[in-house]
Amino acid sequence: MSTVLEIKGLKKNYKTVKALKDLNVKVESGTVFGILGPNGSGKTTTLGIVLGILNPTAGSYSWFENGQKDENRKRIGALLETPNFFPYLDAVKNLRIVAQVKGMDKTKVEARIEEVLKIVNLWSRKDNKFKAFSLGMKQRLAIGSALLNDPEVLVLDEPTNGLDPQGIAEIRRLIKDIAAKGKTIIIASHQLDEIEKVCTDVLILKEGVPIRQSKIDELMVVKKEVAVSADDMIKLQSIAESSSLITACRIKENLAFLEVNEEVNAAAINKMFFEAGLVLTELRLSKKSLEDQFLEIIG
Amino acid sequence: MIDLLKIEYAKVKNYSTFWVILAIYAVLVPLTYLGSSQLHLPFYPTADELFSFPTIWGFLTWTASLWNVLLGVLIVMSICNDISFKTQRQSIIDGQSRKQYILGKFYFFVVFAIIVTLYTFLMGLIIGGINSGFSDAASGIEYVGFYLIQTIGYFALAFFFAVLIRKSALTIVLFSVIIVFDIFLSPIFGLFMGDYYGEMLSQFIPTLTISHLTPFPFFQEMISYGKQMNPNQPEVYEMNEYLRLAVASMYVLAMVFVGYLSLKRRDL
Repeated sequence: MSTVLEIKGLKKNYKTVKALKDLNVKVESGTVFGILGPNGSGKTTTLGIVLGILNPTAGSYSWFENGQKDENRKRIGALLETPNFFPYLDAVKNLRIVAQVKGMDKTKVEARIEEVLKIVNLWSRKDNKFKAFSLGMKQRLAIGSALLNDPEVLVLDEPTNGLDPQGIAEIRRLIKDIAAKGKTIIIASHQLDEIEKVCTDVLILKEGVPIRQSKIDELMVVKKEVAVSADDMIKLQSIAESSSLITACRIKENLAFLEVNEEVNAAAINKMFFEAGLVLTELRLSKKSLEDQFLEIIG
Repeated sequence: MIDLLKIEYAKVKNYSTFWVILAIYAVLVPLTYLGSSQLHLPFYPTADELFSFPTIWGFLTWTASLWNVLLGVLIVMSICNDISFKTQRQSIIDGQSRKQYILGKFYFFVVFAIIVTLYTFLMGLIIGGINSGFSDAASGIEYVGFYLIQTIGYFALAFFFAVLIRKSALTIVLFSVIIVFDIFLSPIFGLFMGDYYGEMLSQFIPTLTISHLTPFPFFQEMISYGKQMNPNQPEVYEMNEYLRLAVASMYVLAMVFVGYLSLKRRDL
């Protein structure tokens, strides 16, 4: 497996904000790599730097183990924030300009434009000016444009932003189709379910700091959790913290959430507290959702 | 180079505003020239002279240069559109280097200036040829060359302001104001350093170096006439035409280079 993108010690300061503080990432080829984080966590800044439109304050990146050369970006298809096209040109003419910028083989351009417009379902609107497109159509054209040069890597920033549910489903299916062809895809999103549905790897960013990077299945392991309550919550906490059955304890108001291993059941928990001299007033099993985990991680 | 030019051409090819302004320019130049032939000013040539070689070269290029601000606006638009549509940003994302972007604009405005100059040249050749035959056609033809460098100079200025300011309305206003304000520079400098040195300094100000490339054609006549009337008239500094050509070309290159440095350092 070769490395598609390697980021080393990347930092970016704007006038008053440190948007990115020391980011190190490696994206292997063939993965669908998600960058997850709330708004303002540095996702777009990261992509902006590796796509050559922002100058980093420190650090470096390398595409295809070939450094920071401008040429590298011709092998990448990217959609960053908004779709950017000439409003007074139609879909085909806009894509022709992109093909020229990408330096595509002239004899293949027209056929390829037809192909991608069909993929994103815009062929029937090929002669319409960009300014007459709806938001969803603009977004689809941008994805078509990103696919134009048959790129080795696809970089998508909030690709389903502003789309209706049908549009979102279409884009996700498209991403999965492309991933199935063995292409590497890098997606930034603040929507957990988006990352969860399409990605193989995930990097979680918070305020410019990488919080966690892992395979998505590692993150997706749903933890078993027991919610308990007792009259003496302080005692409860100290017992929980010293117990070998409990891997993590978190108190929220009058309830303690105990993370336990899969084989531990409610009876074992009850017995353990009783033997330690505490009577539980409440005990229920719950499964921790991914969203809870995400909020906990970035919390 | 050809590839970069093709990209720029594709951007303006279907942009109607571009062609409308160009058409206005193409109509205004001959109309203004026709109208100026009916001016009865002292020193001003008669209609016959205006429409004949060699007078036509100096006067036609000067008249045409009065409308160059219009064409400068086209250059401003070609850059500021890329910025407001974010297509400049997208081109970089798609793999263009910032240097290629700047070179594309540079090639575009140089070729555009050549086309505009060709238009003026053909107009002069046809009008002059009809009225006076071609025997004197080569005399004073250097003005066409000056006009070309001047047009490139105006475009470089427009390019420079557009790349630095990035907002089309503000750029167009500033570009126009500076060009109009030019005529007051020399008197203002004169106030502080005397007429001779004030004029000398002002002629090295880029906008004036460029606009003086096609000077008010009977400027020299006025000065020599003034001298005849009053031998004690102080000397007026007038930069040598070829020195001016060299200085103007240098300014063009400097503006393109500074424009590149500015874009290179900027976050898009």
